[in-house]
Amino acid sequence: MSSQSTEPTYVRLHNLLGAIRELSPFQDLTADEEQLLGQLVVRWHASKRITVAELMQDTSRVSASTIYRRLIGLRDKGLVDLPVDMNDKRSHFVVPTPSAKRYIKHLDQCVLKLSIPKSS
Amino acid sequence: MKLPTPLVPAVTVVSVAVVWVLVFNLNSFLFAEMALSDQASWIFLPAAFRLLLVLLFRQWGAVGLMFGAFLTLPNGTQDNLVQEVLLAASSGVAPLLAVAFASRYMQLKTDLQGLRGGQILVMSVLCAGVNSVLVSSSLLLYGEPSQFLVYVTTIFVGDVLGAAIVLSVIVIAISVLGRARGLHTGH
Repeated sequence: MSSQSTEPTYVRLHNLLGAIRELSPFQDLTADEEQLLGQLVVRWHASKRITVAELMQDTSRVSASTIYRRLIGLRDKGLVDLPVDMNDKRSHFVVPTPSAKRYIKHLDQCVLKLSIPKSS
Repeated sequence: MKLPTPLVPAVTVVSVAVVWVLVFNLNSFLFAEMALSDQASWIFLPAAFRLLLVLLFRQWGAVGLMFGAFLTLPNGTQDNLVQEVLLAASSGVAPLLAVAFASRYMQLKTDLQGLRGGQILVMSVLCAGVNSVLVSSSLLLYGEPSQFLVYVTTIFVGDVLGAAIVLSVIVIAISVLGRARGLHTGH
């Protein structure tokens, strides 16, 4: 480690905290993953069966590989499962896990609380 | 208020020394019964701060650690001054060597970009290993040779356990703060 470098301490602190955060068994969702989860919640409501391929076709804003990477992030964090379509082994469905269902329920309760006017 | 550039290292050294003295005394208070001697304890929380402060403040962090460690020693007679300087120096040298190793063999960058959690664990264990050998060697020079292995083992275990406890506390604090901010997934 050179002593000639001039990186500010806050840059090192930020990187150090990021590395320590990796040691946590509790993982944060990134903003992108949270946005994808939000899109999935809407799609799960509209249609029972979503495939990975269908999801990756929606490349109006981001590339298919980016969507796939975020989807794998959600899977690794236990929010979606990707079971194989038994009629077509090449295809995978995107389904919510119990954690995702709890998240949806929590969101629903938050919206309900907002919509109910407080009694004065 | 922005400090003049020449003052920054001095302020860093003094701040790191103060942090070291505070954490050292906290450890002595919490784990007095786990201490083998003034220099060796089966749980030594400040060990984690050695590595973290050197990663953050580099050579000035190491100087602050040496200064702080010197202040926590008994500072008794003139006779044991050399031993106490050696003991204090090991607090700064051990993390510097661990970080130098990581820079050489784990591509650690100066701004810590790309630093991984696993690398912190490897450096913590390295730091504990180097520190336990350095401290025990300086005690060997001036003390009882038969106690060398006992000291190496105690200091190594104490440093590793201390680092593990402090890192766990930081991880939990980050998780709790993150949970207050938004969604977490625990599994």
